[in-house]
Amino acid sequence: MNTSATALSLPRSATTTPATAVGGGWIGTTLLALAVAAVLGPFAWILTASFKYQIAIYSGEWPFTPTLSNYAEVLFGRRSDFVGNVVNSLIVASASTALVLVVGTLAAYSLQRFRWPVWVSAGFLGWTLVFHMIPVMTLIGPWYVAFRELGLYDTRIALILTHVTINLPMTVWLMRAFFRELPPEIEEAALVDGCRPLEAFRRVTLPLVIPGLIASGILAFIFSWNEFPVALSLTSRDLATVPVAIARFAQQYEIQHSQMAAASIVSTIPAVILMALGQRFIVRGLTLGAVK
Amino acid sequence: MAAVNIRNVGKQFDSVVVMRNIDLDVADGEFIVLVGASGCGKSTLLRMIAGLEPITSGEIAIGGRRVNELEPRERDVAMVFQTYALYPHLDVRENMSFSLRLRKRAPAEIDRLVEATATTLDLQPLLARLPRALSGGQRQRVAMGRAIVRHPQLFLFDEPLSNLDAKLRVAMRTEIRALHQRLHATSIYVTHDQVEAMTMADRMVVMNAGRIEQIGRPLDVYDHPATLYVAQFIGSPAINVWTGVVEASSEGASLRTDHGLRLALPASDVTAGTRLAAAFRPEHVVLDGVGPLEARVSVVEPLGPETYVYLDVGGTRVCARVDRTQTLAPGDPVRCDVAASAIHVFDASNGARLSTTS
Repeated sequence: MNTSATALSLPRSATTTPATAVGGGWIGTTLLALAVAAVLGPFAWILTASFKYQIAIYSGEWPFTPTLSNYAEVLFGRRSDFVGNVVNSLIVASASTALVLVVGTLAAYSLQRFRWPVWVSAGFLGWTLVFHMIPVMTLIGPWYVAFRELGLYDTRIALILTHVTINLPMTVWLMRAFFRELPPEIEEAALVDGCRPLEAFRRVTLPLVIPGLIASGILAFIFSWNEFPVALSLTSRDLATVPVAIARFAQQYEIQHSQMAAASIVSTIPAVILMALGQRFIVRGLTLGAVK
Repeated sequence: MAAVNIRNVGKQFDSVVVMRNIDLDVADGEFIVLVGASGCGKSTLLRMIAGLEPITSGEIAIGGRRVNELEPRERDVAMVFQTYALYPHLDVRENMSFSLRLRKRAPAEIDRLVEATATTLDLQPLLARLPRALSGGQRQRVAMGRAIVRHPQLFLFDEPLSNLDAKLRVAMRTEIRALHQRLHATSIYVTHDQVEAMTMADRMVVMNAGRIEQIGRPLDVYDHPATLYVAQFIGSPAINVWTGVVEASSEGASLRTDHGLRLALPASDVTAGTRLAAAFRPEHVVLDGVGPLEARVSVVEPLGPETYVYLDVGGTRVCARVDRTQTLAPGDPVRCDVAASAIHVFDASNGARLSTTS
């Protein structure tokens, strides 16, 4: 969850900085500096901790002699299965993202384009919003029972399905905004030009909402990558995802601060890469319709 | 090319009837313009012909083939939209060849057809551009090209010139007309602009509130409007309308208007006491200085070749077209007359035409 907060605030601060710097005086600058410090401070602490020996962290030694041993231990250590956790996370996040994009895009298209009675579309969209507001923790109990009955407990499928469920509301809302921006005439032109409805969707509609797919995909992927409580509850050691693995560095008798920090830094890499690549799509997606 | 036959077509949205009993026959190669105020159903009718809107009742046939149940792609029609609806992710060449590629035509043939159409429409230098890099007028031409390249049985135009500026609109109007004269493709063209309708149509269809008010050649409709609505809709500036009651006298029937004026009516069999609407066009108001009607000039609009003068006649406003040599200023008193033979007489209650004028 920590990494998603960091990652999400990147584009936001990037867009607000110039306006504040121009308009505000030293109060604004100070507040901004505090905000940046609040966001980057913990990250910087983790980053430096990942290069320290455990003893240096305890003694607060500064300056310290940097070491790569934590990374070596986390990634290549005989006792570490962190690479396996990364693979698990990649599989779960990729599969759930792919699935949520398919389901969410089709649902959003249907809700936006087809002439549903108002109670159907409003009801569905309202429910997704309510669902989005329910704390995930309340659902974990029922899910645990349901998946154990179905024989899906401790499988990646269970985790993928729950992540799809959790990400669906955001995907539907985001994709619906993109479909709403598309004039229906473009599809109608395709129909008159000789497309079957599905062909028009694939050849004309879908290529035009690719920015939306990228934005929703990145947000869904990062959420799934960071998701902790469900992954903790529905998987055992073998199928643990990255956040769960990181938490396990805090054991009963000892907290492996340095390795935990190294694992945390490794875990932010996909999010940082994705945000760097897709930032402009995400900013556009979240503000779509706000400005013409 | 093909004829279009529309038989008794109706349209209902849920329980609201928006269109009923539409009958229209479009001859092979004809250029038909559907014209009416917004919300009159003209675009809906066009979309029903295209297959984008289902038909509630009746039958539509294109080229003698009933198309009610056919998908838009099976009807062999091409449509130009008001917003152009170009595919934003495809360049001009791909936009134009889209339908041909869907029909799996040979690449060499596609190239030849696209090149030929691009030459016709002066689109050659733009073929590699994306729609967003084109001006409004260029987009409009690409939309036309996308329709023409297919050689469809029927062209449908949904207010294609509405988004252009006035000057370009007039130029494109002429160009579309010239294109039609060369291609002789059956075309149905929707517009709310009566000038477009007058200038482009072989025959125009005036629609109002989901019904057809009149079908006819532009000048016939102008000269013999079938209803008061048509009379008021066609013609710019709008026709002058006076309502009142018929009075009989020794010199023939005349109208005692609601403003207390008296207007001689054309010889017809209207009975005294009937409530009528008498309509006369600005060009039939004669400012000769000796007419029976006293008036005062309120506004003068010189257009160049002619001048429109708005008169205050006994509390009503009347528009008159006068020669540019006639110098009038607001406030000038004038006398005017309306030729009885040029007056259209309509039933004041339902707007139906009562007189036949020459």
